[in-house]
Amino acid sequence: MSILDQFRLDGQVAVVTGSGRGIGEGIAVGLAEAGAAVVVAARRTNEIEAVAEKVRAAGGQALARTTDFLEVDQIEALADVAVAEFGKLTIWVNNVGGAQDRTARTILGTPEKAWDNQIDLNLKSVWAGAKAANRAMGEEGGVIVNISSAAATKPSPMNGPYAAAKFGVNSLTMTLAAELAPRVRVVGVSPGGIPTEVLMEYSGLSEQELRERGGANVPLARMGEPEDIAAAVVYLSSPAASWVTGTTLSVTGGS
Amino acid sequence: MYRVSWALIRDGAGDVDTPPSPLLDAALASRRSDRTAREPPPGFDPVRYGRMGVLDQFSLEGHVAVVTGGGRGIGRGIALAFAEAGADVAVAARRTHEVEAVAEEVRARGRSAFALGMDVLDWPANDRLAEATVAELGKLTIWVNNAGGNLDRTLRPLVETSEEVWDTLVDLNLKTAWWGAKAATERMSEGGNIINISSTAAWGAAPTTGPYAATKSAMINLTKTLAMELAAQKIRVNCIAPGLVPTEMLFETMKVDEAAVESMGAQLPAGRAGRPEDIGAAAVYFCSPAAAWVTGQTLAVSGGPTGTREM
Repeated sequence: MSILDQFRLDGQVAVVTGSGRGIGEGIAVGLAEAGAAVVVAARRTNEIEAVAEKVRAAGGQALARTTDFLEVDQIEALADVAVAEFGKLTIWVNNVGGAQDRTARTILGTPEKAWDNQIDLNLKSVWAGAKAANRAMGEEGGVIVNISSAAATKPSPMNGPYAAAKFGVNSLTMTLAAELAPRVRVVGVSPGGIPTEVLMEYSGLSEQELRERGGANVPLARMGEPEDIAAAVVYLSSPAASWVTGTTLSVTGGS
Repeated sequence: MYRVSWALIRDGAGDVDTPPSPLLDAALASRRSDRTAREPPPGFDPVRYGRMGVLDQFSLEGHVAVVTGGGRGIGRGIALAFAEAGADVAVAARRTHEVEAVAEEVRARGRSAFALGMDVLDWPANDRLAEATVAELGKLTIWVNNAGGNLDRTLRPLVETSEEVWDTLVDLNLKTAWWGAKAATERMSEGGNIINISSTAAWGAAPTTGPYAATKSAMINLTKTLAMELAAQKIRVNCIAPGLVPTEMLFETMKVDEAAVESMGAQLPAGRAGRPEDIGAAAVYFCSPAAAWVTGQTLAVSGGPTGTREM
C-alpha cells in the first residue's frame, strides 16, 4: 500500500459542525473528497443543504441536519442521526464557533450575556460535541478534530472571550486525547486569518479588502483558504496520522 | 459599536492599520499558484473549488528530496514515504551499503534515487550532497535534516559530559540543521521545503541525554526563524518531533531491545510505539501542497499529548 492511500478516508463517516459555510464548508467538502460520508450541520438549513448538494455533486454521500450548537440535546441527536443514516460515526469535527452577534468589543466591555454566549458557542460546544461523538463512536472509536484559532495563543484585543474559549479548546484537545486514548484520537487545527463570510461581517470589510490587508503581514504572503484547513483536517483524521493525538497544528501561513 | 481593529483581523497580532506590504501584489497574483488547478467537479463553485482534489494535494510528484541520515530508522521511513508519494530521493548517511540499499528500495517504488555515503559532520560534504542531488536528479525541492542522535550511544548527566562530547552532540544535532538549510536553500531556486527532525525530548527534562534534548529544543526555534526568513523565497520550514520510535539508535543508546520498546509503547496513550512510516506520513503532509499555508510549525508525532507547544 502506498503512503498516499493512508490519507484516504474511504468508508468513514464524518460530522462537521458549523459547516454551512466558510471553514466548515471547506472541511466538509475536503473530507468528502477524501472518501468520507459527511453529515453537514449548522443552524441555517438552506446553507447546509447547499453544502450537502455540493458534496453529492462531487460523488460523495451527504446528509444535512439543522442543529443549534447551544443546545446539548441537539448535539447528541446529531451524533445519533449520523449513525442512523450511515451506520457508524468515525470522525467528528468541532468547527462551530465565532461570535454570534458579530460585534467586536473589549473584554471588559462585554455584557454577561455575550460572554456566556461566546463561551458556550466556542468551548461548551466542543465539550458537548466530544461527549456525543465519543458515545456514538462506540468500540470502534474514531477521531475528534477541534478547530481552534491563532487568536488563542496571542493577545486578541476586541476579541477576548473568543480567544479565551479557543485557548480552552486547546486544553480540551490535550485532556480528551489522554482520557479517550487509544480508542479515540483527539487533535486540533488552529487556523490563522481566513477571509470567511463571518470575518467579513465581523470586520465590515469586503472579501477583497480583507485579502489585500490580511495577507500583508503573513510570511507566506496570503490569507488562508478553507481548503488549507480542510487538508490539515484530512491528514490528521486519516490513518496517516494514526500515531498523532493530543496536539494542535497551526495552519497560519507562518504568522 | 466599536470599529473593528486591524489587529483582530490578523488574529490579534499587535499593531493596527498596517500598510500593505510590497509582497502584496505578488501574493494576490499567485494566490493559488501553489496548487495546480484542475477541472472542478460538476456542481462545484469554480472560484472556491477550482483546484486539485484534496487527496491529490498530498502528492509529491515532481519533487526531489534529500534525506540526511537516510540509511535506516526514521530517515529510511521518510525516504520511502517520499518515494511512494511520487518524489525522487537522494539518500545520505555514513554507511554506504545502507544508503545504497535504501536507494534501491526507492527505485523499487518506481522513483529515481541517488545514494551518497558521507558524514554530515564533514561540513563541505553537505554542500557536495546538495550539488550532486541537482546534478543526478535535476533539482532540489525538499531537504530533510534527519541525521542526528547520540553519536557514542552513551548516557551521561550534563555536568559529567566532556567538552568534546558536548561539542560533537551540538554539532551533530543542531549545526547540521543550520548547515543543511544553507546548503539546500542555495539550490532551491523555485522554492521548496525544509523539514527538521526534533524529538519529544525537546519539551521536558531529559536526564542523561541533556545535550541531545537541548539541541532538539533549539531545532524548534531554528524552524520558526528559518520559516520567517525563507518565506519570501517560497521555502517552507517545518519540524516533526517524534516520540518513542524503535530504531537501532534508540536500542543502542537506551540499551533496550525491540521487545522492551514495544512494551514501553504499550504504555503510551495511543497504545503502541511509533513506526518510521508515522514520521514519513507527517513529512509527506508538510512537504505537499496540502500544507501550502503551513510554515514554522512543529508537529509532535508521539502517540499521545506532550503538553503545551508554546516555547
